[in-house]
Amino acid sequence: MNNLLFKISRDKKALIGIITITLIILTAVFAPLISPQNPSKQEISKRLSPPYFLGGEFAHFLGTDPLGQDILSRIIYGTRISLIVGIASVIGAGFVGFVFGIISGYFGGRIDNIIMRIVDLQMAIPFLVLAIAVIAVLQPGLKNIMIVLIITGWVRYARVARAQTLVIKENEFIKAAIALGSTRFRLIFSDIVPNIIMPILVLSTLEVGQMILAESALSFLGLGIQPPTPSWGGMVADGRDYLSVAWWVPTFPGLAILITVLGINFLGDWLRDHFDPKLRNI
Amino acid sequence: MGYYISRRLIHAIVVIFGVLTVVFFLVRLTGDPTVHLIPIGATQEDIAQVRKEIGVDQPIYVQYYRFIRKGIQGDFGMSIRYKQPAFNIVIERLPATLELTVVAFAFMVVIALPLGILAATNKNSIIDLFSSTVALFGQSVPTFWLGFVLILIFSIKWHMFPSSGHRGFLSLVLPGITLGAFSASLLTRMTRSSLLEVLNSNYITTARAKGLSETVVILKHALRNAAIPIVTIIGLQIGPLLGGAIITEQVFAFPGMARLVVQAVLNRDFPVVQAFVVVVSALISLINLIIDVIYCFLDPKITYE
Repeated sequence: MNNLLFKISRDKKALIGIITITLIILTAVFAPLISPQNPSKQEISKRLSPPYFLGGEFAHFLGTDPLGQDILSRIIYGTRISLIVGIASVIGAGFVGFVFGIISGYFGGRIDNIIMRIVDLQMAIPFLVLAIAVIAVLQPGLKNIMIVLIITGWVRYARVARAQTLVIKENEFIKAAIALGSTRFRLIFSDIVPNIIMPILVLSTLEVGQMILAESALSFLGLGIQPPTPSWGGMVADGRDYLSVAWWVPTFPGLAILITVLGINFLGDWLRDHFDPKLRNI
Repeated sequence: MGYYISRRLIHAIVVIFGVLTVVFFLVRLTGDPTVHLIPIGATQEDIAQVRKEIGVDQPIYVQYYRFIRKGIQGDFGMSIRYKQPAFNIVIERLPATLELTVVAFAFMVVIALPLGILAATNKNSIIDLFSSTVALFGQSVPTFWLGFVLILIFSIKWHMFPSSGHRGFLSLVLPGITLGAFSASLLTRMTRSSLLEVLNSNYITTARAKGLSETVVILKHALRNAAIPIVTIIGLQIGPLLGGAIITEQVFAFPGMARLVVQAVLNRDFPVVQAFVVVVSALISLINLIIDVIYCFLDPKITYE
């Protein structure tokens, strides 16, 4: 672990990534302490007031939105939603995909065929189209967004886990373990899982960014997190009708998404190049 | 080749059946499917009518058979909101969405290929750094936000392009860039890495040793061999572009399928959602099938599979 941190500290991209991610996590954890205002407090008299550096009040540093809510405070609280959705859906989708991928790769045959046909089918439907179909049934909301992201996201892990399992399975040490009478359960957990976990972790890191983008897109469309809960995508949508008079309303929440995802991609790219050059093109 | 194409054709048909099946079960997973197919405040007679139409009282396989049979004919029921066949409403809006997708696709290819090639041939140069940075930003930026930034700069500030609607080619420029940005970034990175891989091979060294000019080496020898993964990625972008058009259309108030579908989800107009999902997936399968056939002509090796 120390060795890894040392390596990260020597690479500029990875370092920027890790610093950005740390700051964002700290923001999410300490949101109530650092947020200057209550994120849902509406002051209609102060609606659409400009940021401090354009002559606005210091109390509303990044200005206010069409309901007179403080943009900076909402961005700070929005960090929580983005991180919760991003991390929870990656854990969920990663777990489901990992399990099915290993089953598919290890057992092969008919079960492999069934799982892989489902994966193929799902790959043929674009993410947003599938997400819309699922949301139409479940209805928008925090919990349902995570379910949607898990349903749409698990296939990528399943493919990687299956491919890795197929490679590992052919190794001598697996044959040796079987010859020594290792049970299936033991074989999977102590021989296969540890050997394929790294590519899955690399993929997961990159996926957190993609999940945050996906959540923000759905919230932007009005199909994700519902107001008054502050979500970055929803905040950008709030600014749609005020672009020419109040550019700051959509701009700052969008910047928050960009910085977060960029930070995650910086780290993810580095991890990928470092641990798994084969994945470089995914 | 015939075998290959027929296999692909079967694959496309399987995908369409699969999508129909997914839609069928999605509606039934939550319990009574009629809930999704009737307007709020419908009378008992209306409900009875819909129940009879989809045959909820029948065993599930009968319902499934009926659904598939109707689905193949494009019959997904009446839109709750528009009181017209859901299929027709979706088809009506399709051309505008397709137009946007084509522009985005063209933008992606025109930007990404040269940028990727330049980055690979000038590895570690300032061009390479520039293209990697742009690509990384392109993969991290939320599409809808990029659209707003482009509107702020090019419509509101410089009045170069319209900020919304669909009137003439100029109105397609900003939406096309917005929609194509993510795929363009992906393609730039792919082009760079595939070309780099090929440039390291022995036959490139041979070509150079023969005294061929660098242009010939890259355009004739390297690019031709790097083309296959690149073409694959280009083909794979059609689905995401068509799906992503929903967000872009929403940003630019573009009269395609997006607004229709988002409204349908919020109004619980499920027949329209069904029609949309099936039409888009079928369209993508069809386009992919065409690409596979073209591919088959491009790469002789595939024929012998």
